[in-house]
Amino acid sequence: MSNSNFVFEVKQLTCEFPGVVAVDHADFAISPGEAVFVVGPSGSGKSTFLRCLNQLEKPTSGEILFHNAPVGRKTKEITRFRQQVGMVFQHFNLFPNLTIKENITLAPVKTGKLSAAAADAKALELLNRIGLADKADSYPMQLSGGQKQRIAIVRALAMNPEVLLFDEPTSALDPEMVGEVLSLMKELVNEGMTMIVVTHEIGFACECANRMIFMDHGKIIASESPDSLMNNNPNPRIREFFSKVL
Amino acid sequence: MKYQKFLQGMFTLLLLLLCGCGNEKQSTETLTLVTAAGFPPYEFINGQQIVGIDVDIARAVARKLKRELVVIDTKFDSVIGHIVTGKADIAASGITVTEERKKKVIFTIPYSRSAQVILVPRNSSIKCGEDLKKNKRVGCQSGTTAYDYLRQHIITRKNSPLLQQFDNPSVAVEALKIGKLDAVVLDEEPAQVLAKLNPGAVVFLKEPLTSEEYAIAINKNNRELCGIVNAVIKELKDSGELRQMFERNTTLAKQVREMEKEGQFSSFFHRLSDDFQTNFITDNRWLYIWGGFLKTVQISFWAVILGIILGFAVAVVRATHDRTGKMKFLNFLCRIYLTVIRGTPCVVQLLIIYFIILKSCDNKVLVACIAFGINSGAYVAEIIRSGIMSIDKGQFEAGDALGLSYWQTMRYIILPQALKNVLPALGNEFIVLIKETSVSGYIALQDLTKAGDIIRSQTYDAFMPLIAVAAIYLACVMLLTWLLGIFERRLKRNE
Repeated sequence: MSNSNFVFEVKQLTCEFPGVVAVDHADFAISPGEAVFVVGPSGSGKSTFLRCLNQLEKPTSGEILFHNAPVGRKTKEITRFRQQVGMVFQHFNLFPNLTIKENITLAPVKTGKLSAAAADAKALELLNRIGLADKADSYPMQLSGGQKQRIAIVRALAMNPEVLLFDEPTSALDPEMVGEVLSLMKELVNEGMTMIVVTHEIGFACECANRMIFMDHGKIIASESPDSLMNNNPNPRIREFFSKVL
Repeated sequence: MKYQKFLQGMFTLLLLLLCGCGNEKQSTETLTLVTAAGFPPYEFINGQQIVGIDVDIARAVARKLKRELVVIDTKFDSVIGHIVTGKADIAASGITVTEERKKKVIFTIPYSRSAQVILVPRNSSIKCGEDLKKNKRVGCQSGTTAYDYLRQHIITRKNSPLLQQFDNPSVAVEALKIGKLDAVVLDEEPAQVLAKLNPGAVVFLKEPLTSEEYAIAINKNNRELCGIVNAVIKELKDSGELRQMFERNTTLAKQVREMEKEGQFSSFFHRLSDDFQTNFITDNRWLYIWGGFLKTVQISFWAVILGIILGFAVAVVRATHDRTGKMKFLNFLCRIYLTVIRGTPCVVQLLIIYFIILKSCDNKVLVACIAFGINSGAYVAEIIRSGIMSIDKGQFEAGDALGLSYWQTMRYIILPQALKNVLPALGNEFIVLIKETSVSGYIALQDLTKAGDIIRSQTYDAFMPLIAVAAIYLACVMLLTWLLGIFERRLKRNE
């Protein structure tokens, strides 16, 4: 076991579904404070790769180290590990039966991270930060898509995670809502939050990323700075992708 | 064994109920007559009084003995039982002398000859007894010689739907008039009366099906009384008084019926209020309804609670197995439970639980709560499971990703949403359950439906008790629907 300072270290990660190899022997590591953006064509395994990181998909083989220690197999170990890894979904997945404040405080209180009072204070602080304090007692259904996604981000932040995973956070949004979500994510990058972001917002990725990863057919075929990835990359597959999306 | 005990219990209960209003104890000052009113002109109800040929003869006997006559009115098939058990001194109810009955009681000399005749609608194709064998629906009074004769000679197949038994012959004639029967077999005198009362509707065939004799039944240990009654009957016959009794009562029966008919037209509401009086006020009969209502509410309430608990547990096990593949054994047990409970009738389950599984438990209400709760649980389980399945898997993933345990996700996120989605279906299940409890009568539990039955058996009126029972069920269901509506609106706050 290495004693490196990585938050996540992934070795030869493979995830197979019947008939498909979604992630194919991927090697990857991320240091604290790094913002890594994962790009690539549709069906290249980006989302599966991300979901393997917090065990929403069970990897077929390979090793995932979190702070140099393997994530356990037992349900309890996985649950405890997930409490340190936040995730933001494409479809927000807010809990429609709970108010905004309850959405944010549920996990910290029920996992014993914060007392009810402390969780309430934290929720209000986070809501103030994103300017939605007046929505504390509203229900998710009464919010716009952009508002929902920002709530989903602070819901993850309320657990004080070591790292945040974003699974195409703006793909389900109306175009005019994308800006507010991206600016919140940019703030987090600037604060030094460790983030892994799967996205199709190439421009935004290029602007914020410390490092970009390019995936194709389940393989990580490049992991470098946005500049070197996008400008005159020697790999024709990558050049073709960027010529289409830019 | 248990079943026999049950039957005995049922029988005793019935007797107690039927005798409840009469004088149960035999004292030296009274002569107790047991009869089944509703058999004009032998015994029928005139106003609040039971009158008829049999009552007149009994009165003559009482006069002779210098005792006061007390009349018990019951169903015909329990008349003999009253004599055997000593609940009454004499039974006069147009009882035909048969070998079978002679084994249980002694008979006086006959006071009347009768024949079993066939009543048919005018223009019926039935012309003689033989015609009844041609797939005809035949009605008779239960426990009568007509029934025995029909079973032995006409409709010999057991449990044939063609042979229908009624509590009293006038109901059978009503069924005949509306075409639910092709013929009614009954004793000659009442047949004559009923044919006269329904002119144009029914006629009776000249040729009797069988002929027989009526006599008074007395307990085998009371030969002395038998002798006295024999003497009285002989006197009445010789003096011509018996014939007068026949004439008087035949006329009276006709008058009563005509008055009732007139009443139907002239003062429908007056008759309604009379019926109300007899069915609910007399002897505080409303207490049956009230007691039955309380039992029905009690059983429904606890069965719903048990159903919800069982249903949630089974649904969570099944859904967890479907999602994660865990809890294989529990899931297997749950599937057996669902298959058995949903695959067998509720009333059979109730009987099995009462007579076999909880046979040492005497608390019928408790047994019913358990039986209906277990039954409902199976349906609730599948309803809740469909609710869990309807929740987007992103909700489970969000719970997982936040580090909530599976049970926390279930408890705080999935089940509240699932419950909201299935509330209408769940409400439907509970409505069905409330009405399903009406089979409680099978274990002799006096629920609401049974209460109506008891009143009907006393008043021979189907309308009032049934309408009252139906109205109470309706009110219960409407109340439940209203409560569910409120609950549903509360759960919809978040929309």
